[in-house]
Amino acid sequence: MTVELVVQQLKAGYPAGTRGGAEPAHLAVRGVDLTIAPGQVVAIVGPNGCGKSTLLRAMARLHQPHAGTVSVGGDDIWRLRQRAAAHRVSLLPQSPQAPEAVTVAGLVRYGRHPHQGLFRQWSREDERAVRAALTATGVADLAERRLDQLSGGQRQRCWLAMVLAQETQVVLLDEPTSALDLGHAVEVLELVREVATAGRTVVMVVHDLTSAARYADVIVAMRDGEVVATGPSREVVDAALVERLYGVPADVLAAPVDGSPVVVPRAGGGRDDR
Amino acid sequence: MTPPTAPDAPAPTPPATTPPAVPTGGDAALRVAPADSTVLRTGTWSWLFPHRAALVSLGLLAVIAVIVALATLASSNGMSMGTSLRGLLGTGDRLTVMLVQEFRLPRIVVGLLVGAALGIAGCLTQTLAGNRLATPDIIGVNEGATGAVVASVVGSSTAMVGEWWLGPLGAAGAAALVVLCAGGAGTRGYRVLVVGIGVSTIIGAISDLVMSRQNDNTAGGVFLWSVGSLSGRDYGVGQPLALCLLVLVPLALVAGRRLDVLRFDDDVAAALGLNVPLLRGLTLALAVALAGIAVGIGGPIAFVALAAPVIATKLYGPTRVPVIGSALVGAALVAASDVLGRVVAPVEIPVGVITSVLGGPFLLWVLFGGSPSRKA
Amino acid sequence: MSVAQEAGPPVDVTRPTLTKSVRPRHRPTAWAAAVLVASLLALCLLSLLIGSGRTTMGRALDYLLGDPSARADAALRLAVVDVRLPRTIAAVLVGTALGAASCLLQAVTRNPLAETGLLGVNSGAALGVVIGLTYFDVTSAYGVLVWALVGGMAASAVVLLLAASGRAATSPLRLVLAGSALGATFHGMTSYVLLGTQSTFDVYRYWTIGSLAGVETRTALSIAPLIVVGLVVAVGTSRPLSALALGDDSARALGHHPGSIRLVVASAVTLLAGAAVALAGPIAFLGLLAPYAARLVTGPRLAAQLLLSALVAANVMVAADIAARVVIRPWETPVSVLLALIGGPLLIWIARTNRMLGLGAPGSGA
Repeated sequence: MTVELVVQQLKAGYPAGTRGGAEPAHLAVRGVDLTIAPGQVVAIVGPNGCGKSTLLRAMARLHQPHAGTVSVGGDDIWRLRQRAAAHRVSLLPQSPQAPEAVTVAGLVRYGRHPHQGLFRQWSREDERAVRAALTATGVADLAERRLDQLSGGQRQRCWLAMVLAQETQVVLLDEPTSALDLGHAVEVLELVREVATAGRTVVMVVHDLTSAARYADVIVAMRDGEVVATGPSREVVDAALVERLYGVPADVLAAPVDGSPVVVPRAGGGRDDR
Repeated sequence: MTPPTAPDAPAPTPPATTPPAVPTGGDAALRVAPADSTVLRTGTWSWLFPHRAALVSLGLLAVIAVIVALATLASSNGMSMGTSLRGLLGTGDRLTVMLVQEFRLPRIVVGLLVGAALGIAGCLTQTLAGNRLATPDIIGVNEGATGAVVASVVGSSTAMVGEWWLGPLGAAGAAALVVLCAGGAGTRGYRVLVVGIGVSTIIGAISDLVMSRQNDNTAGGVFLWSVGSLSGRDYGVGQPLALCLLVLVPLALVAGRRLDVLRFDDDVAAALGLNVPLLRGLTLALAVALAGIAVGIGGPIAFVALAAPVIATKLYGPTRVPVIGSALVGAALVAASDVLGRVVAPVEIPVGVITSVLGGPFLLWVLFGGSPSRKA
Repeated sequence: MSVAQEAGPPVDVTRPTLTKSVRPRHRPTAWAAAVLVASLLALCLLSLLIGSGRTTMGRALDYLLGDPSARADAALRLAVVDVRLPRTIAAVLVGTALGAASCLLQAVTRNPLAETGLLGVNSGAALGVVIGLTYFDVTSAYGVLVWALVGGMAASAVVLLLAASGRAATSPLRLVLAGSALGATFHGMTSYVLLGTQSTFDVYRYWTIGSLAGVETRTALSIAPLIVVGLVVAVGTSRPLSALALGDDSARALGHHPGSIRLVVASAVTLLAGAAVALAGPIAFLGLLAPYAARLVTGPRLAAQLLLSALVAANVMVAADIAARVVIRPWETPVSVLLALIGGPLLIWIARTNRMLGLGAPGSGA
């Protein structure tokens, strides 16, 4: 079964909307349409304040949109209950906070929370999912360590493991690499690719255009709450787009290995005031 | 930074041939179930029985049993333990039987229930606020109950403290006022806290003003109540208290599982399927109800709501929100303080005085002494 | 009060707040100070003219202007010189002390909700009063005042010692926690003494409401030196304390010793708050809101905050004391009750507007 993530005419702003309510004072997302096939990695890029995080939060059922729908597998997640939505969509926020003294395995077990209940506290399914998530992210060795004693890179992989253990069709990541050095960032992005290869849909907000271009199947470029370009990175990412998004002149080269676009800002270009 | 320990080192390029991210098994030898629990499964049903929690709970029950025994037998007026025992068993003289069975025993039961309610209420508010020092009186519960009692005393012709339900009603009213003024429960309750201070002080000022116009007897009666005392509490208040707890405690237990997840930030909690605003609202209501009933019946007994969850966390470990543990510890604290207050001095010391005198040093010990406390 | 003490501290003390919070508005502090001094003088004059008794304002004015017939009127003399003058002096002293003390305390704890009661001064003073009444047969108002002063100082000293001892240096958090914990213990002890002695309770329950009625000029002036010393220390520490607002590490880099600065500041707060509570009993909210009002005008400069906070508080205190005489004439409304009734809604209003959040309050993601 193919489960598409479809966003239709989504409008969201601040303060957060009530469905069909009045237009909010500030509209951060102004009518976005997206259709994302399963198994794809989608990177949302754009300048600060372009609405990409709001869009992601609306997809994650965290920020009530003012109009439009986000549907996963044909159902609008904003019409599902929170728990039912958590069976379909999972999210890793930008700087998540864990409970005090939680272990890695403990953290990942929380990923199973939407699947658990008073009479279903620890099923074989839970056990399998947690084990698989720990193994896939390579943190199985750390399972009994405390999360707050790990390095930033390790911690991010543990969080990713928690999100994977939730076993949702759609995985949303808010700047998963922003606090990581190049090595750990690549590790996380590789993991993201593997997740998509296994058939899940990954949507992430990324700041670094070059790594977005390299690891994402589809780039969604946003500016002022609107999508200005979508498509495979090689077709979409060019000097004109960089100029349009960020207002800086840049050269876009082709990577020697596979020709994926590499963005190099021009020195002395600066931001022109428009 | 430690080097990545990943056995599956990242591939150099992102080809589409890497193994699937979610294999069906993983490393079967890897133990992922909670290490401190026994898993029980029948069909699709499964439960976790945490060993440590079970052991600690049994231990606490034993402690409570000892306290109850002592409280039943100990006396402030020189009655020997043997006489008390005969009174308890109904074989002593009529006066002794009446004293033990109709005064001491109900008072012990009420103390246990009040303590349990305060403990759970404290546990809920501390989890809600993400702050080990948050207690229900932050949202005006104490002042609300006191205000209602003051009103009942002033309004009545006999200048007696009125019906038992007035306190809880006042507490709920004040809490509702706080939440209303704050415009919702807020994310981490900061605004609620500030508004709580404001509302509490207003109610307190009005109570003070009213009481300053009353005669000394009336004021003294209200003061005794406002210190927190179990003196003269019988099954007349014990019954409604027990009934309320019968409803509220299971609800708190159900909420407890979800509150575990609320210790993440709200975004993660929502992504894990929690309706965060709803849960916060219900938990707050639950905490207010529990604290309101306890305060309404026992008066604002200081520190129990604060100390019980802290002790419970130390005993049960930090992995879960200790709802049951807080109830047991709270019950033990109130019952023990009450019996201490009865026997330690020739004149009975109200339980609230004992808890507030001992509570300060305790708080300092928890926060400054012993284990390196990471947050406060 | 106790709620504020227990609830206020834990939330935000760990966060550096005051510096980055206040938007730098460069309105001249001098202007505000001049206006406040003028209004304070006017209020003092009013305070001498207005009373709860039958004396008319005109007669009181005659007396002040030296009209011979008015000077000869014994009842008038009693009202103006023996009743209103000491109250006015006391109100100015208490207001100034509380305004300065709480401003210092908020800066040193980096907590915009810190109040002078935090250091255990109020609960200690209460304990001192009941001990004096019960075990030392104190009967005079002056005796009660001395016991309140001693109790408040002693309690605060214990809190400071406790917070300063141990491995960690005096952190703001330790200060606040030690204060609220010991405050509760003192409160419990007070309750214990009170429950045993009806006569003490009868006096105490009026003392604890907080009022300026019955103050004598002699008493007010005998307390004044404490407040002056406290103010001098306050002004002297305002520079190093500003450095502390940047964080302990930056302060050390600038050559200051955070631990000792805190200790000196806390001692000054103790002097000021102890004197205030001895004169007027526990007064809520004034200390909470005066620095807030000052910050609206001055921005982050601590010395300016200190000046304006003291002036604002003195103004409010004198005004509240006047109102206390006339609101429910001929009865006196305790001034602390009045302040609570005004301050409570104000605090709620502040919490509802975003300013409070601008003061560095955590959470509150709108």
